Amino acid sequence: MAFLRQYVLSIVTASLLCSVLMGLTAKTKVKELTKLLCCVFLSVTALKPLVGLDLDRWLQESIPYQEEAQSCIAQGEEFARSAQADIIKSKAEAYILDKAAALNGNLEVEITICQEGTPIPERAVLSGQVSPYAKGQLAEILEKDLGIAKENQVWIG
Amino acid sequence: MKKVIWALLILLCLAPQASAAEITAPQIPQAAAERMPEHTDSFGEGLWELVRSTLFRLRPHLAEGCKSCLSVMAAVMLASVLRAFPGCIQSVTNLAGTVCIATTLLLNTDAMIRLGADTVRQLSDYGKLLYPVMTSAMAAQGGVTASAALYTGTALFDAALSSLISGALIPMVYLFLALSAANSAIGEDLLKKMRDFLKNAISWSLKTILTVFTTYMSITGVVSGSTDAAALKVAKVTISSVVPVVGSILSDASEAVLVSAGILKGAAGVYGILALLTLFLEPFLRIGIQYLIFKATAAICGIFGGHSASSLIEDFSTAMGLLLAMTGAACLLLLISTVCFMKGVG
Repeated sequence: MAFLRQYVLSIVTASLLCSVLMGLTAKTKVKELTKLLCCVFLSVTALKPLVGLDLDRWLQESIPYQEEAQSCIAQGEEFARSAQADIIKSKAEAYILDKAAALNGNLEVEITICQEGTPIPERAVLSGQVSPYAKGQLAEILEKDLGIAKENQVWIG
Repeated sequence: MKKVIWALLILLCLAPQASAAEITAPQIPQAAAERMPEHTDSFGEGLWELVRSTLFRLRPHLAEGCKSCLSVMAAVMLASVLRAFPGCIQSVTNLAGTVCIATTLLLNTDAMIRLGADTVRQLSDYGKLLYPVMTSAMAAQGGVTASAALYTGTALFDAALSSLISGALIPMVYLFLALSAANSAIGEDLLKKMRDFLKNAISWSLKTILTVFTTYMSITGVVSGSTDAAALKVAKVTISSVVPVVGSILSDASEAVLVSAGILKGAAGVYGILALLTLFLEPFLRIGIQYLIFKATAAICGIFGGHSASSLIEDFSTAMGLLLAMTGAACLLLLISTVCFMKGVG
């Protein structure tokens, strides 16, 4: 604001000076010349600060916005992936429990979701009481329906 | 049926919990929090509440503005009476009248200019908090290309506009007023052209920035929106053709996340718009009232005062008009951007 005060003050001072000068000059050709000189003086005083505008600084400031946008997008994608992973985990576990119940099994399931790429089930830890036949059937279901390879199925108990 | 109920229960439990922590509109600054409407979930109700409370708070400012204009009218009348006396030096009376009017009006005008500059800064600061949230929400909804383009465009134009306003246009308004006062003091319209040039330069700068911004937003919306929609469609087809059951689960989960991200984005957008309007409306109306009061004063002074006095007051009202344009442009830019974010993918 100090710059502004200085600027307005210089304009007001210059215009008052011009006003006094023109008031003192008699109506002759000298008055015309004074008028012209006053105009030039006022124009220079008024336009002087506009010459100092730094346009390069504005252009420099615009560069990081693309990076900020990418960072926000990464956060949004991570949010979506994490929400998807939670839903898929719950639905896959519910699916296995449903199948186990149909085979008279009493299981507890813990699904691990793939950390990179598409959030698909990667590993399953199954614990509880289940017959060997049901175990075989469930292992097949886990591999065929949910894409969890047999080596990634851990049976406890 | 059992599966559907399970899926719905899981969705209801998971989606809001996961989302609420991450995609929420930023809180309005503490200073303006008391002006924020209570109903931020419904845009119509919130807007109505905001308008009503803002209009109620404007009354003291109206009275204050009228008082200073009565002083100006008294000064103009006194100058007219003095001018009527034989032997009075016209130029001295003119100069004294101008100084009197300018000093009286400058008090209010300076306060309004500061208010306008503060409002633009507050709007820009709030925008800087809101747009990352909207960008994340839009990216979560699948609008990766569109959100990048919208964020970059908004941030760039907002920074350009707020720097232009605080660094150049506000000083130009002061300059415009100084030139008007000087022109009125000299009494020979020497600086009229330069004063008009400044006025045109300010309005031209604002119009250009807004036109370029809306054009950019329109083109970006169409181009990147359709790109994202096509990418989403391809992703859905690919997902559902993976392993049969897991493909269908993945597709359902993806759909659920898109819907919940859309809901959260909409809620954040409505809150954001109301917050922007809360920051904007009261200062804008205060400047607007000052503009109308100056216009009315100029009209009344035109009856009994000289041309230069009336013209000077008219110039002060023009300065208020320019200030209205600046705050309006800053708010409009952010509102357009928020609506574009809310419009979503496709």
